[in-house]
Amino acid sequence: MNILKKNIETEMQNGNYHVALKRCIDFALNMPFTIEIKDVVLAMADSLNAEINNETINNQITLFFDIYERLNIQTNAEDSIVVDVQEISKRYNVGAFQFKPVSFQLKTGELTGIVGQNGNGKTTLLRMLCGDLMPWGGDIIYPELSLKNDPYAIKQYVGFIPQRIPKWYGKLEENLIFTLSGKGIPKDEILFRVEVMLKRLGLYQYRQHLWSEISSGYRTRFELARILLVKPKVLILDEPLANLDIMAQQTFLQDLKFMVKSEIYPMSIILSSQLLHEVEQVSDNVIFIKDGTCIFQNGKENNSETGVVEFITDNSFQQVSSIAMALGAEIKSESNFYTLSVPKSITSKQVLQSLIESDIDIQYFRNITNSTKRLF
Amino acid sequence: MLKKIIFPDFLAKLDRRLLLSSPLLWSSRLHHVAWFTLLAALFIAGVSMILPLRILSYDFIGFYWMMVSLIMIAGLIIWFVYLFRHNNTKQYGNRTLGREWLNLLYHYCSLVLISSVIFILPFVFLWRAHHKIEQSNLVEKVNILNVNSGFFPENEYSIRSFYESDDSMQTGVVLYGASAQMYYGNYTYRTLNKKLFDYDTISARFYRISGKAEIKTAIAQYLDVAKKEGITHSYSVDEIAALYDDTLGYQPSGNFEVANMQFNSQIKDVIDQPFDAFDYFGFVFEKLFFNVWLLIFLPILLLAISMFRNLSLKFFLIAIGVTIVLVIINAVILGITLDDSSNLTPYIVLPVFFIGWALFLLVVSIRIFSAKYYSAIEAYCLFLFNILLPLLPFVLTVCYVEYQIYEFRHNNTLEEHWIYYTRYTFYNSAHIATLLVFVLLQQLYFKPLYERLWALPKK
Repeated sequence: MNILKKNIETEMQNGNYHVALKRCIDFALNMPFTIEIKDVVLAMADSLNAEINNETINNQITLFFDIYERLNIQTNAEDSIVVDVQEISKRYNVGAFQFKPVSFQLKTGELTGIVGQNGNGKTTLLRMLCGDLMPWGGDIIYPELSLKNDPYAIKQYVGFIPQRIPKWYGKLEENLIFTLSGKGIPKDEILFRVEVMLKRLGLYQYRQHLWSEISSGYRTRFELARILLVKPKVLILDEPLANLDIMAQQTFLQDLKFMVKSEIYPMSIILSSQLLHEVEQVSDNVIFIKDGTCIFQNGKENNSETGVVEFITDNSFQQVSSIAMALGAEIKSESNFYTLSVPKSITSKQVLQSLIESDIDIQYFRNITNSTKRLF
Repeated sequence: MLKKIIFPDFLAKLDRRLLLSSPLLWSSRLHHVAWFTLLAALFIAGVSMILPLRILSYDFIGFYWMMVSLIMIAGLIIWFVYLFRHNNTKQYGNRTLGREWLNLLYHYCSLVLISSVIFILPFVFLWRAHHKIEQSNLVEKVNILNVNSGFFPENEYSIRSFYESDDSMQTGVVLYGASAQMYYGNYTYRTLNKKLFDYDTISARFYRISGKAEIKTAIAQYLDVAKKEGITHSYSVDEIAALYDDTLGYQPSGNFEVANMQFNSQIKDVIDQPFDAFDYFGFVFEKLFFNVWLLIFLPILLLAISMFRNLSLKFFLIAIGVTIVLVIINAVILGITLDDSSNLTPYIVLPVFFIGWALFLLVVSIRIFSAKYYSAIEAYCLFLFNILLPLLPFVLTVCYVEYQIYEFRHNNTLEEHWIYYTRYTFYNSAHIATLLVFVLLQQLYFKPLYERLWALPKK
């Protein structure tokens, strides 16, 4: 709760009242259902989609914390291993593609990103993790499942949102209600959770729409809403950013980062994306895949002896290479896109300063020393 | 207005209520099936009430079965596609054995409802026929017709006089009864007996022992009743009576025979209408029909739908392809074998053929249950195994009974034909055994089947 409170206070101090509301709602969706919670959370969800002044939002959040403290809810801050991948590999009957053996663990409270070029095995890995594909070798262990390799239980345990969202029929809201009503949850709670989730993800106005009537971005949101209502222990997302606009991408990633570290119901999230920097920004771990070979990077620190920066300029190669030589750097270029590998003693700030002092017109500059981009 | 009738408000409210309180029932769409079946039933019942009973003929019945079967099949396909698409249970459902059974029950009810539409017209016609028979004047007509059976030899109901006097005919009637019970059941037979013979207050004997005046009165009464129905005889009462005076020495003229036949034919048209309804539709009340339809055919269809519903479109298409191939192979093998054999061979070939298939599919089924992944073909074989195995008791019993019948076929004594008649009980036993095996197999198979086919990873 302290983490949440601190997080919300920071957001409110920065004037991000809507973000603070979202955090409260996400937290409330993991809390036990009560009438008091229902009223205040529904009010907050309404505020998300309306022009409400900051004072009202402030009052709503204060009331929410009051109720929360009275309910005295237990938090679960312990991280545990939810998926243990042991040397899994894959080979298809057709084609020469091979996914080479890889081992890693997924823990609650961690967000793992998978990056790599097209056709390198990202989706194959994700489908094996969710029990959709049979590994050719190795084993995947789900420690919290009592029956080992029970395919039915795995489907309940792991939530998977594929790149191409499977078509659903009927109305959007009906599908969400069915997701919960099949689990024996009381009617009031079902209606509450579905309504809040719809408002939280901006789907409320489309609740009576069919699949064919909403955009692919909203379809992704629907799938996320459905999975989050079910509350899996592991959430797997295959290219979830592909269907979202640039603003929604940032919001989506920040939301995931918050969800993964939920104090009541922490989960493990693993997602693949082509948007390397955005994913790396929010991920705790990154898996880089190239030609079916995985390189698992635990944490973001890189122990390499060199630092790497990339930049774009219209200046000539000779001008840039002379600066690189002066810095003792190795240079790679492709048209006006340059990559410099410099000794670790030279910081990216020093490289940028040298370029500016030499009157190089920089259009783009990024330090990729700790990024998997350098592995491409 | 039409939309309001087809999709009334209460249906939408019910839908919402079921979604929240009984999601499995909601997902099965039984409430929609029930409503649309009711609408279809009301429409067909209305049409059936308007149509005259005399419309019943082989041509009409053929046309009706074809049309209504097509409508029913279309309904089933729409329902199936709807379930296939709106398969919320597959996508989001919590699956337990209890829920699968409940799901099965809902689907079974839906199937019974959809398929029952085909029997609305028969039920209405039978009800109307019953109603008509209950009217005393019709019984009178029949009785009067019977008393005149000596004049009108085309009258089929005179069979009773033969039945009472001739032992060979008695055997024939027993055989006819057994045959009717075998293939159509005894409902029609019993109804005809009850309505005709029990009310036959003036039997054919009346004519033989009556005086001229009484006969003349009977003829007059008969023609009078016919006249009320709008049917008149070309000959008057006196002319007929005069002709009848000298029965032993009289040879009726050609003109009288033609006029008599026409009159008789018209009378029969009126009298036979309700009995045609029993002839054509009486089987719907039969135990055999219910056994086959409700306990064997529909559950198999249900199993097919349930399985397809839980699998992919790819599986469905493969299943159709494999089915066509299997039908061709079976037709060719059985066709060649049976065509080129003695009469006894079918009773040996058929069980061997079925057992062979069952064994083959058993091996495939064991394989899929021990495998770590599934292929669509293997899953389909498993499905076939589920269908074939319950049918084995039925097929084997039928073969055995048919073989017994073959042996008795050329014996004519009544006692032996009664033995033949009692074989009918074997069929009943076979139906019950088939049902039990079916239920038992589903109990064993459903959960693992669904779980594996739904959740197993792909190769």
